[in-house]
Amino acid sequence: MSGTTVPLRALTLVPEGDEVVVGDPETGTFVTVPAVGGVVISALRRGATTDEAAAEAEAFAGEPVDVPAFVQVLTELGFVDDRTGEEREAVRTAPIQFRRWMGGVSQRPARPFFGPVAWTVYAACALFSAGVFVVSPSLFPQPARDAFPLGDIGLSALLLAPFALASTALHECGHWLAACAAGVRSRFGIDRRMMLLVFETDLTQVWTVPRRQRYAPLLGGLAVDAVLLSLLLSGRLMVQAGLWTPPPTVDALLAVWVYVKLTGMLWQCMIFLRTDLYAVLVNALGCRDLWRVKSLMLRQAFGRLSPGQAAELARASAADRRAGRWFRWVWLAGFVGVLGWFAFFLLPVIVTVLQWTAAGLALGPLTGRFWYSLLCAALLLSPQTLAAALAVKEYARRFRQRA
Amino acid sequence: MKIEVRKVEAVKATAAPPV
Repeated sequence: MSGTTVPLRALTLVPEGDEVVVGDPETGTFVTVPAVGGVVISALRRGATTDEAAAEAEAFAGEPVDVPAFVQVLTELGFVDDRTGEEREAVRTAPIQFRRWMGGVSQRPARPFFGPVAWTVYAACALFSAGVFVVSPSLFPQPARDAFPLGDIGLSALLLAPFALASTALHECGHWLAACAAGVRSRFGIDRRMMLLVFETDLTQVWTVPRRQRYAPLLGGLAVDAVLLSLLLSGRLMVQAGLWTPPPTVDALLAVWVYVKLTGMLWQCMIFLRTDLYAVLVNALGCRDLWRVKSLMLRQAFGRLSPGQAAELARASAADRRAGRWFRWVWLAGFVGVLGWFAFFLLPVIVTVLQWTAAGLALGPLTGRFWYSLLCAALLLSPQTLAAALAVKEYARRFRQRA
Repeated sequence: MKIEVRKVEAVKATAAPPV
């Protein structure tokens, strides 16, 4: 090993405090090392031999540094180029997702949308919306009244689905565009949060940029939401003030869209579901692996920590353990809360839809009601069905790994 | 000295469930 050079992949190094975030953007694998690790990697990248790198590291740290062991870890992480030239796949972060990273728009055209002026506009939109709800509380969504703008519940649900889908797509495009502006590649996927199906943008490559530049990609979705919500509320304000007199259905549609947007924005506050604001929190607190550390610390609280897990927890970063101390309880309370919400609010709706569908199907395929029931049920229940299927698949895989 | 290497978690941004 002594005195050889080590060919490294195109790694990114981002100094952060007394650590360096090192990673291979292509596979989406990132780690942190102390500053001396950054010295070794920088030396190896220049073509220094392991002996030369060790000498530089010793001069930096003031004591001998075990470079061969470090190179061994880098090799295990896939950071050393094995010169096979084979294409490597990115680490999977969602059950359904694109294998390739999306480039898309280059930095220059995307940048004005996420400069200081743009963020001021997005913040103003959010404040405007909050102000409208305070000044004119009647515009605040009332789900029972607003969610079904047309007399027919089935037809309302059918109408709601395309808007909810478009609104979701725009939110994800906000993340993607903000990532483009930061020079970060991303990719889309579908994941679940407990029993809920969600669209997801993999932004793991934000670890390739300095900490302050990570906020824009993380908040890009909410920025789009804020603009849309303020536009919808402006429309409703104009109707209320008599400046605009569209057919009543238009105002009812605006109301249902306000309901969908606001629900989506409040959803982001549920950080225990690993939402956008969870990622913002991780970045603000300087955490590294909070989601895992939270699970370990919860096990610790209930005395369910295996020796291997205890060792893993002992190696966790101080920031993770500090945040994990309280975040584990936020997560547990949120988990129980969502389970309760599912049992008391969502499950009865699903049962009602199933009963309504069964009644329609009983009429036989020669009736219009049969096909109408089938279509509505498919649209209403397919997300839950897919989420349940993904969950079963995931638990089966875990069970097999244990066996 | 040994250089400690710590894993960093994936970053996921989501949109609210469509329904």
